[in-house]
Amino acid sequence: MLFNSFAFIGFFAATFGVVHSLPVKNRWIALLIASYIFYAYAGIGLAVLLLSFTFVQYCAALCIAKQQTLRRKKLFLVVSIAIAVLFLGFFKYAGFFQFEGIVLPMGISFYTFQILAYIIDVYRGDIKPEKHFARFAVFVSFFPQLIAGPIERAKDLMPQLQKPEKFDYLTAVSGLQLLLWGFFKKLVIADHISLLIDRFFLKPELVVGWHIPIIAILFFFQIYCDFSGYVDIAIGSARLLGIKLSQNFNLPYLSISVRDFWHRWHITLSQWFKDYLYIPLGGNRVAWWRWYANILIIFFISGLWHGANWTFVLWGLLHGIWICLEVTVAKIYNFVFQKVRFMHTVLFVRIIPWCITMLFICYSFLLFRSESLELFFDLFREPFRLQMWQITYFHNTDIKAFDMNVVLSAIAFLLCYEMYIAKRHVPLKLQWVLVTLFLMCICNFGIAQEKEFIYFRF
Amino acid sequence: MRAFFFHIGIAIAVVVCINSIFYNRYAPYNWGVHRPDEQEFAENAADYNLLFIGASRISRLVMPTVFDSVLSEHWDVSSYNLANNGQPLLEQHYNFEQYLQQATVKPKVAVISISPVFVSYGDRDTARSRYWLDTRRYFNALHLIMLSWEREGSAKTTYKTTLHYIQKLLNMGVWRTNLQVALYVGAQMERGYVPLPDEHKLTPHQQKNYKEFMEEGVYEEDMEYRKSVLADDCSSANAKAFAKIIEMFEELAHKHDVYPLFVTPPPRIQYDQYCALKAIADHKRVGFPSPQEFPDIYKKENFFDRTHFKKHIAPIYSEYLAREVNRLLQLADEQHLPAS
Repeated sequence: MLFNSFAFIGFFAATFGVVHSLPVKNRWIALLIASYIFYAYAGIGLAVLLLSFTFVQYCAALCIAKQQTLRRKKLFLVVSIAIAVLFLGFFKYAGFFQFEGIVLPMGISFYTFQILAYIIDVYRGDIKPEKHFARFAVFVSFFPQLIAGPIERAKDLMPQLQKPEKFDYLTAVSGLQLLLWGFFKKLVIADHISLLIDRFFLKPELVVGWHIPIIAILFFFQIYCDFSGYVDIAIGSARLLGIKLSQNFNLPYLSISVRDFWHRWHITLSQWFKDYLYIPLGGNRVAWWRWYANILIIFFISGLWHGANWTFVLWGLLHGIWICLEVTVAKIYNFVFQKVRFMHTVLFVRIIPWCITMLFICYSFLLFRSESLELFFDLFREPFRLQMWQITYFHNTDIKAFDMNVVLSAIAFLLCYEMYIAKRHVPLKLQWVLVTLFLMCICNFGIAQEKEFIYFRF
Repeated sequence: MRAFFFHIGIAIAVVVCINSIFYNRYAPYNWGVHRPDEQEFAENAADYNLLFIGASRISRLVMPTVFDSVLSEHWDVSSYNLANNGQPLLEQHYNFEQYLQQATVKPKVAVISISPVFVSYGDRDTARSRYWLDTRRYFNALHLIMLSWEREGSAKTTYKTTLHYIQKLLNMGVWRTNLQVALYVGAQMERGYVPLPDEHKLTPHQQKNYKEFMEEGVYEEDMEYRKSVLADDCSSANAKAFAKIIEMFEELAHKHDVYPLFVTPPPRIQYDQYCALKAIADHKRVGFPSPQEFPDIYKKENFFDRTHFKKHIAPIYSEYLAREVNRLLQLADEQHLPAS
């Protein structure tokens, strides 16, 4: 079920009503049923698959906890991880091996990683395994974050699911505001940008040099608004149900380095890689070459996690290589310009690094949108062909002024809202004004086409 | 929780009120390509040099393929039926204007229907109902949601219809092109022509209408009325509102170098609009096929309902229209009018 569908609005309204009409201790039952209805909407088979996988990992966690020796615990952990990786690999990377007819279950990467975190936490003794299967199932399948995160930890989410907070007017208003803000980002910004730039990817021959930076910047905002819009809807709807989910974004367009970017973008995934892969590999407390290797491994896997396409692998590796370069350049820079005060001004410490970082980030996201490496390299080369910087009228590209105006105004509003309003305490009356404003913008300028979220395919 | 829902209700009411006040201030509809059928249309739109603009009767009655085959002996014509169900004249004008603004290659001729009963729904003040959404239609949405079950009789269609009206109420990208309507009703389209369903596929509402038409003397009444209108000299007609919209169409067509032809498709006829058509210059209008000239098509069994013929009449009318358009274009050509 897509968040941006009427079906979801009806479904959510019904779930909200049922959940809040039940006693707090029984609400998890309604959440479990709602989550499976939500997932089964895309296909009963997918729900059965999710249930089976949940059951296997539930048993695995109990087995790990029961073992007396570390060796046996480790053995069960390895088996459990192997099952999860094979499960993910089979469905996700079948395309790599030319297997046809295998449907990618929605949200598989997200719920597999959430379960893996749970299993490892149980192995480490950070949490006790959940003995009640249905309670564990609701943790895995909680519908707001099932399809595209945020990837939650059991110690944060499980207690909340078992005892959600009672209805609170102020929390509900902030949840509604966030929910509508998510819809605004998705329907008004992301889907409108998609209207503008999809034509370039359908007909790359339309593209000339000066389009590429514009497409890259617009696509960055598209994917940001699409993904963070989803997360905002997830967090907002969970908040309305009395559950608090983790933040997944923190103004990524203000990043002054790629490392900084990964602290602001898809935070729960970065944290997952850090806790369950990077630190076990030794992190940065190893020889320099191993540290670099660790970074590359993390980003290679991160790229692969996004999908079975070489574009994602290259995207991940590019980010890894860039971070290695950043680390090296930062060391040299600090050593060389240690005593040159001018080189430590805002211009050199923030503005220039921000420009370089954003240029890299925007260009690297073209890999996300390109269906093949060939297309990406064609697009990448285009700005370097000087003859392609000729003046071409905008209407030749069939871009409508109305769409462009909507997109530019909405992006300006996005930046103002997220930087100056969303982070502050907003009076209740202003919250309702914002709710009304978002609703009006969504109705009048949103694209009511039920376009799928980009991260659904991961 | 009551306060929460009460405030949500207020927020929605504010949105509906603001939308109803400013409904004509912006045009949220996007002509971008969203679906394969639209993409096909967008890709070939430049090839169409003759467009049909109208409401359901044009949409259901004019087959571009038949039309082109008749006209191809004399003209290099490629037509597309851009008509859309339930469009008042101002909505047609708006869609036509949008099309002309967006089209990279403009059509040469537009056959514009002035058939709809309303210039706009609700009132005839053209200044107030500039675009597709006017006040009566807007607030009718609520009433129609309640009626949808009774009208359609199927849960799935009622669900779709209800969503459609909620979208209208909130001004959310409602269907506006023939293509979208066709996708909604699931009809097979051929260059914009949307055939009417066969009898066994009629919804209960359509069946009821058909039964009433066939059994309760409505047909006979309509035939009498049709004859009386066609015989009238229009001395007591009030065709001011129609004349105004025809003028707007002519201005728009002139601005984009398109040659406009006006038509009133059968079977339904209204006194005022018929008189408005008669007031148009002879070389720019296609007359109403009168029951005397074409008694066969007006047979009772050929009616789908009061306002539409069954689908087997579509090729017959398309041929008639093609011959008439051919005559007018030849006339324009002889008089060096900008049609050829």
